[in-house]
Amino acid sequence: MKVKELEKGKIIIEDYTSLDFYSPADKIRECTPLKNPLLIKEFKKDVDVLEPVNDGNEFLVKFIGQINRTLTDHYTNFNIKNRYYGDIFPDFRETVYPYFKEAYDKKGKSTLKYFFYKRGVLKFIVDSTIIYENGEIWILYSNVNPSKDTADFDFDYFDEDHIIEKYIKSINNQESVVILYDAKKDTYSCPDEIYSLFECEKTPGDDIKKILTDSMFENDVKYMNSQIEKLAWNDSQFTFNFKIITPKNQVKTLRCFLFGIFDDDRELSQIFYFLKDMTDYDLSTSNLKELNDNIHAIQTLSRAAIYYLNLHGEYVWTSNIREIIESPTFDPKTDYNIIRDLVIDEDRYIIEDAFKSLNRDNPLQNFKVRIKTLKGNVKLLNLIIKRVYDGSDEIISSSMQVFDITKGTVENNFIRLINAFNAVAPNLKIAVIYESSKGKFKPSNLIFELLGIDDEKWYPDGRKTFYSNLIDAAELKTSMDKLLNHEIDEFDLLLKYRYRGNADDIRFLKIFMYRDENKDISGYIEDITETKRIENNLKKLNEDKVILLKEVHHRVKNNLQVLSSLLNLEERFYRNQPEEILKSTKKRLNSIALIHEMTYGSMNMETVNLKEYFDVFDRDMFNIYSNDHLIIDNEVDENSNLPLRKVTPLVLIITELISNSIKYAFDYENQEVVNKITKKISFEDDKCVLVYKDNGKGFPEGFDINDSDGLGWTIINSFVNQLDGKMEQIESEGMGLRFEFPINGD
Amino acid sequence: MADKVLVVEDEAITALDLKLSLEDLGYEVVATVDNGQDAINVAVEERPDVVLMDINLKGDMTGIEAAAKIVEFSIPIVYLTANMDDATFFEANEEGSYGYLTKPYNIVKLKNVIKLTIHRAKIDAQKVNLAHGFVKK
Repeated sequence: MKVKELEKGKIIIEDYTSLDFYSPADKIRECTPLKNPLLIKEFKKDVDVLEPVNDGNEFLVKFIGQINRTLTDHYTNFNIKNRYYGDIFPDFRETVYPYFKEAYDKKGKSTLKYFFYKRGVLKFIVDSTIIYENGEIWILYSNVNPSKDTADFDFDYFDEDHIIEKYIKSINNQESVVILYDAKKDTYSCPDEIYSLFECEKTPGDDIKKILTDSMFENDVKYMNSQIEKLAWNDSQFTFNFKIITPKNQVKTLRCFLFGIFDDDRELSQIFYFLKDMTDYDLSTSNLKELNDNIHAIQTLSRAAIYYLNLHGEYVWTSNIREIIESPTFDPKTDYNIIRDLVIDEDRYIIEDAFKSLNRDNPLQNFKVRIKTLKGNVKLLNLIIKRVYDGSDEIISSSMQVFDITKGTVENNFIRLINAFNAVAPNLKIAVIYESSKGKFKPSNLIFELLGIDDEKWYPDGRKTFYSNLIDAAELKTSMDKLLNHEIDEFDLLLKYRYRGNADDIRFLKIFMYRDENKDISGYIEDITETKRIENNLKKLNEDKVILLKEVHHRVKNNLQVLSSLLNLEERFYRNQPEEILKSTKKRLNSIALIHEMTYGSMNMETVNLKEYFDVFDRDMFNIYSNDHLIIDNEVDENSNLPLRKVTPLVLIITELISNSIKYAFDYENQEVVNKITKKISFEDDKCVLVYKDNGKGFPEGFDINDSDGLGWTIINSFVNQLDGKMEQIESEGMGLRFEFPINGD
Repeated sequence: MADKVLVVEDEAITALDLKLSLEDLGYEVVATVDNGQDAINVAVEERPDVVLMDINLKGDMTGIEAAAKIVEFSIPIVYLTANMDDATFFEANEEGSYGYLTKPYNIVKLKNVIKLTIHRAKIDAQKVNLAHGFVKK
């Protein structure tokens, strides 16, 4: 292996996989202890820390970062800590030493760029900044992706002057108060600002943890503790929001960025709590992005696992892989192919095809597959596989993101989301309830507004009010009992609720409760009244349409039957007069068609306005009989709305009467006389009265309208019976008849 | 002696037409009524061989409700209705109907359904009598 200086500031390392990258040093030397070693380890950038000795001629290794650690672990069997850097780095004197010396002499910094090659192909570039600080030499490394064009490199990004300064500054950020927990000693320490934040007096021997947790709501403490328990060396931070009540009864909203530090044995050694007062935090558009990011982070933490290259240069799964595959003991470092192995047979082709399709031009695959977990449950996952290739199509890095999108899981995570963001998103019409350690439920403050309970206490009155206002409280009680008795793991109810006890203000509440993996019971109540109202309206509208459609079909077929029966009757009476049959049928058909037309046109399927009907009816009649010197006078009450089932018989009676007058009453030879028909329809009390007159010949001598064999009169009599009406002869120039029948009734 | 038919139909012209058609086919129409209660009364009194029953009738009782009473007297029912949707069909069938006709009816179908119904009802009655030992095999 060769290390050579290409030009000033650029070092080429040919075939970095060569085993002699580090040569064994002859002995371990003493050096001063490193300050803040754990913090340095968690730096976003890779760091080596050296101690200059012999006036900057040699440099002792105090701490090594990920790149050197990886290379050391992989290619040597010894620890390079406390050895001379010059003894272990090939061609140190010829290549990198001058830059170290420069930084040491200037008590400032120098920069270097390393080009790592493998079999003649540039694999990656590392930028390094060498800084002299407080008697130590710090070497900060940044990886650069070589698949990008070198011209696009943002060199400035790697030339950060004050990375350490920035980091320290963030700890002493004036907006945040930092609590430091030492896990080894089980002690807390913090600056005095904590007392003003929590509005309490400083007294000697204060229990910092108690100040924090006493002010917090029980559920928030529980949530925080559960998250702290989940902290791991490769998953070491989380952010959450919570409310506190200070001794002065002030409610404050705080955001906590919690950051765990793990030692070399991956044991938790320290926790930093960065507390920020968010009480006056404006949830405006500019801050929404941050909120979304947090929501996304929580969602990701709770139902996604990622297989990635970690800070220590190892490919590992994030710890949530255990929840997804339902194996609490699964070691995230062991099995890259775990998801591939668990895919159910039916979906195997999907994942295999996706892997086959990966190449330099197509480095990303996003697809859904089902897996059978180690507990035997089937889950639906969304997988994203991403690879980075170099110029010769070799894989530089590979990652996989797994999202559990199984229905129940999504719902469960929704609750966690609400837990975390109830405080900053009060406009959500959702309230969360939790089980407290006392075996009682503790609702979020939103629940009181949601349920219309003024006194914001759940026990005993709030709960009592809630149950008494539920229309079917028994259903909820039964489900709750089953959940508490472990008979079921979750329930989802839709219940009606009398808001503030008002029977006229019924709200629809969706109540979802479940037992999580920690055996805690939590859930939410959501007011879905508005959604339900829209849904019900649509449903009612649809039902009405179906009924209407049935009704219309029924009427059409009934009228067809009436016409068919009339034809049958005509056939019997006028067997040898087909023209007569056609003519009368045409008139009846017109009369019935007009009813349909008017009901359809007005969309009123219940009643027909007789005035409007007969205006059109008479015009049609006039057109049909225009050659017969006929005038039809019409007198109908404006508001004569008759139920539809009564209209058809009435209209057919009038049709028959007009036919009868035209056929038998008038003397068509006498042109001087104008043939005239008058009809008058009026509503008297609950009766409809029709008076029909013509100026024709009148009834023949001895004619009895109730006992005639003629088809016309048979039809008229049948319809009068159907209407439960009566018909009588009245005084008239020609034929005069009076009908009356009840408006309502069958 | 002609088989007897009771026509239950609230549409007067249809009832008249059915009466004349059935008489043409050789049946005796004992009555045409337009409501359920009259249908039950006439059926009990006249004991027709078949009742031709509309479903929508005048009054509070539907044809299906009236039929439920009439079948208790072992009188077979044939429904005549404008629309026979699934729900109505199942409800009507529960009341032991022998068949149904939809409006507007067809004279050939009317003839066949009435004839078959009377025939089947007679066989059914014979079975019952046999089972009770009223007649010899």
